[in-house]
Amino acid sequence: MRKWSWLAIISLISVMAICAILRIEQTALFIFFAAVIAIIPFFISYERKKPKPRDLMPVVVLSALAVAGRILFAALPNFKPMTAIVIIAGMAFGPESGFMTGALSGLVSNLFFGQGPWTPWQMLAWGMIGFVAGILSEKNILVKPWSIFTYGILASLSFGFIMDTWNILGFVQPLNYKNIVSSYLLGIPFNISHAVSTVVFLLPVYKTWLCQLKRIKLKFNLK
Amino acid sequence: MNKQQTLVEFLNFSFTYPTSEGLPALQKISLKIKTGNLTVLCGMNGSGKTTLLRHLKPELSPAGEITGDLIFADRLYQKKDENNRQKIAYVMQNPSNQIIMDSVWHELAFGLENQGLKTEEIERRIAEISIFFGIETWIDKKVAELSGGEKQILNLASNMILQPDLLVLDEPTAQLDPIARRDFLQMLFYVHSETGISIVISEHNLNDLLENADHVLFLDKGKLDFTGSANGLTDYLFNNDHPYKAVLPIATQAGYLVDQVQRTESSNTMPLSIKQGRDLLNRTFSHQSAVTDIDHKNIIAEDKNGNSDNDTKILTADRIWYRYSPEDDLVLKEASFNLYENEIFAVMGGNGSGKSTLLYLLSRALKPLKGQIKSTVQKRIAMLGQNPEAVFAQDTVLQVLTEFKQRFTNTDREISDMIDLFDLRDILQRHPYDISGGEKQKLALAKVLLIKPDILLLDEPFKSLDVIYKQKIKQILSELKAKMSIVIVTHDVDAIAEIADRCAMIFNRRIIAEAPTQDFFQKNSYFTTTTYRLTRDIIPGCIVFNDLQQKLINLTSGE
Amino acid sequence: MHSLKDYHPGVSLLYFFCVLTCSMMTRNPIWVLLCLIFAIIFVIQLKGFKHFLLQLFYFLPMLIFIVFMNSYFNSLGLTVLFYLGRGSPVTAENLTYGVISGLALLTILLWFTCFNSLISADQILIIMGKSFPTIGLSLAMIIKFIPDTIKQGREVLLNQKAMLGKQELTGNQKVKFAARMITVLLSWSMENSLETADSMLAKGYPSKNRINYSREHLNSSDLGLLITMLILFIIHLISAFSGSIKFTYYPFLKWSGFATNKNMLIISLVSLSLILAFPLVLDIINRYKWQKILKQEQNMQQQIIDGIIVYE
Repeated sequence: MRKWSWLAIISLISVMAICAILRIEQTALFIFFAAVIAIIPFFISYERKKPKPRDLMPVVVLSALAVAGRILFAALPNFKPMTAIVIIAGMAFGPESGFMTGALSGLVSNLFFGQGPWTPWQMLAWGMIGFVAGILSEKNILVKPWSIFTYGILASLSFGFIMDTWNILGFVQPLNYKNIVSSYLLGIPFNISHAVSTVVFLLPVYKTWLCQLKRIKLKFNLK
Repeated sequence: MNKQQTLVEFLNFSFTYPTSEGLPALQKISLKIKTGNLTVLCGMNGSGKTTLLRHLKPELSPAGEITGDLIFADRLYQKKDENNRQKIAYVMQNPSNQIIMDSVWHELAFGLENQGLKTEEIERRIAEISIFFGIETWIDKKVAELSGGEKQILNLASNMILQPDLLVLDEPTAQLDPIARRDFLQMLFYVHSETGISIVISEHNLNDLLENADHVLFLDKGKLDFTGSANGLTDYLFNNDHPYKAVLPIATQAGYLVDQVQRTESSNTMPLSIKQGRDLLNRTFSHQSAVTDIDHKNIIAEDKNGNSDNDTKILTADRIWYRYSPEDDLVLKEASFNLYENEIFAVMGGNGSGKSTLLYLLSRALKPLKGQIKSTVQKRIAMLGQNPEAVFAQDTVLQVLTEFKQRFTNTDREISDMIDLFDLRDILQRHPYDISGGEKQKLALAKVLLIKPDILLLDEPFKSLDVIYKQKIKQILSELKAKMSIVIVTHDVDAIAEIADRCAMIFNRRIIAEAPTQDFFQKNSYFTTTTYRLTRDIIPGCIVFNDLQQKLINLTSGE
Repeated sequence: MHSLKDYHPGVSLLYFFCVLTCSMMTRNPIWVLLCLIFAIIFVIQLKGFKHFLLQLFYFLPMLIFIVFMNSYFNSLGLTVLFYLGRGSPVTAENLTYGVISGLALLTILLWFTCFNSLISADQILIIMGKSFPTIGLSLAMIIKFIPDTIKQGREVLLNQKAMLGKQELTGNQKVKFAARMITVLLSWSMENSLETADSMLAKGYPSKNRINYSREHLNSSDLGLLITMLILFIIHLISAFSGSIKFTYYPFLKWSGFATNKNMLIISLVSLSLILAFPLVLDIINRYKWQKILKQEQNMQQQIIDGIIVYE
């Protein structure tokens, strides 16, 4: 099933590339629905697994925690735990659960903060952050603290990158390197603050969290 | 009566958890659960009640080694029959945790969705169950808007909607306040009498329950020590002088006391409710009221003397106001009281009356909107909230205890003494979430005491404790009084009356009726201890059971 | 637009699908402006004029960004207006394109404002649950868990503070404290969810027979609306893409479909207006029906009164 998920992502990227190169008038429309469709293979593969109640719980609890954290810490500007929680979810419970945690917390947090054309992109971006974190940790790449922090920074930056892309692709034509680069540069301050808040959260908790979640996995009898 | 069918039968049933080194959790249990009965399962924490109940619901049965037989009636449960699974319903302790869905109607529909019923059938069932339980008015609500009591009623309804033949409840009222508990039990008895469903319920508070029980089981250390009627159980406990007898309703205990004092072989059945108890006391003591009246005055005079000894104020709350956010109503308005040195001060009041808020304000976790909280000298204040889980951030019990070792300069000796005081030695290496509710409470209390506070604030310290634990905590608190002042906020009137020096109520956002414990409870006729309600005009001046015991012994020796 | 609430969420969903598609599929200024006007009408109807102005205010930087990106970095277009710094010339063409693009994005955002105020979380659950039952269930559970988690979070925060009495924290300590708090919250929530999982097992989950019950039923009038809307949408797509919609910005503004395809143009504009105005039409019909009934009632009363007078 993981193949289908990768295929979905690759097709989404190719649709975006084709639209940009051919200067298609309906780019905004096509890539919006392409993003919605790209989520579906992930959802289907999760449905196919027919999770038991205890398998569902980590995703549910971590998503709820991510959204509640966004609400609870609204006052602390540099403490946005969403991305960090998604990364930890992927590392502790595998790529599929990581994706679901990211995608569902994106969807649900927008139930509170308002849905928009960004919803599918957020779902995809956070989903992929969890998914890749899961794969990297399966390959034993995310072990050392510095590798986890590096991933946190890269993930936050690419989150912003993905979110900016729809605006640029959909509403700026024709594209040339100048306006692409300057658009992304404009987004940099936001992305850096996001990366900082992710690391600020990861720094003190990742170790204890991974430890706690390992215990939960044993207690819940999850593989 | 003998035509009742057997629904479940345990035959020489033993069960051992894989982790417990061969020590069985249940030993040679033999019992029958009959149709239409309300069976009450009682026993102390850790006696195996939950383990036994979980075996009644095969989906939830713990893994482990089983010997003996467990036989379910065909109509109740067949292993191969997927459709017949929901004939056994299971209600657990925590009202919120067992709710699955976000809205009331969705929660009611959840089990029916699993059965794959048709839409029309689901709608009909939701409609009839809502009307039966009187919950139509909140069917459209989100679950988060419900109170704890309402949530537990919803849990009962969402189980009953599956039309089970057997309803199993594992301490369903342990997390509820007394009013919500009463409503829940009334609903349960109503369900029982209207539907004739078989019910097995475990509880650590037997008030209101024994008088409605058809069948009582008493489990002690994994063995079924007693099966029979409610009166049979009371006889069994008293004849064997079992420590668990303290859990019996006050009226029942009074009944035995009367028997003991009168030295008569009682032919009566023992009272199980206040009304029955009062009838008995009336019959026995109506002619002796004059004698007891004098006694009563003496006690009050003594008490006042006792209190005037220490009146060093240690903390004053002066006309404090509080609200959680500008849009909310005031929780406290012009609330004032004094706390004296070396006393236990108890604050009681209904749900949401602001009791916990008061404690948070005293602890300085919240700041009052108006008014002041002054402590005379620089005093160290520590608070323990309702849920001990909220203070556990470590992986073992020992780490929880040693967390503030440096900060509050705890010596190894102090920690070791604390471990012994609270009997935590055996569980030091366990994870704080894997120990029982009573142990969690004790651990949290030990942790807070290691802060060495001058003022200790406790929010519902008796919640979900069985008699033995409760007794222990009461004793520890009474001893601690010598070193500190304690403010306790609680619903448990009977327990607090035994240890508090002064009491007050929170009502209408203020602290009212501040008075010495004796006075406080004697002035109230509804919001007062069970003993006082039982003896009020018959043997005046009895606030706690000990008072009654003393009185009766004096009475008989005086004659 | 309020009338949409009376119908199955599928109707609202199809409506938003159609209008979003229409708003995104072309940069023909007439199309964009038509969609924008209706979006504005509905936002004002649902949220009030103040909210609309506020949203417009927040959108301004975005609009400037899009106009700037479209006109500053390319020299397309023949009608040079002025030069901005050392950049390429700003032309009437690339400026128009920028503004229209920006307005298209505004239109989309406004549609989502309507979507958010019209479609409840419950309805999103229903729609998700129909195609992805497990995910629909997970969403419902997440929504149930969030208020619990927030409540527990506040409790942990207060208890951790209260346990230690008075203390002032520095910035770094605050972050550590928050991290510790959320760790406690994690273990606690996970522990609680064990009981939820047991409760699910007890109620027969997972089950092969599981169905997805929803309180909303698709009835014949919903179906009628769905079919009507779908037909209009298809007519619009065909007529618009048969040439009438074609509008080019570079090298100069030109609506090539305007002259060649008059009939198609009229059909596509009418069908677009009908789709956009769909909720408005429903509102009007409902109001008309209600007034008609009111009138009938009044007539009846009048007749009774007349009758009494006559008899007297």
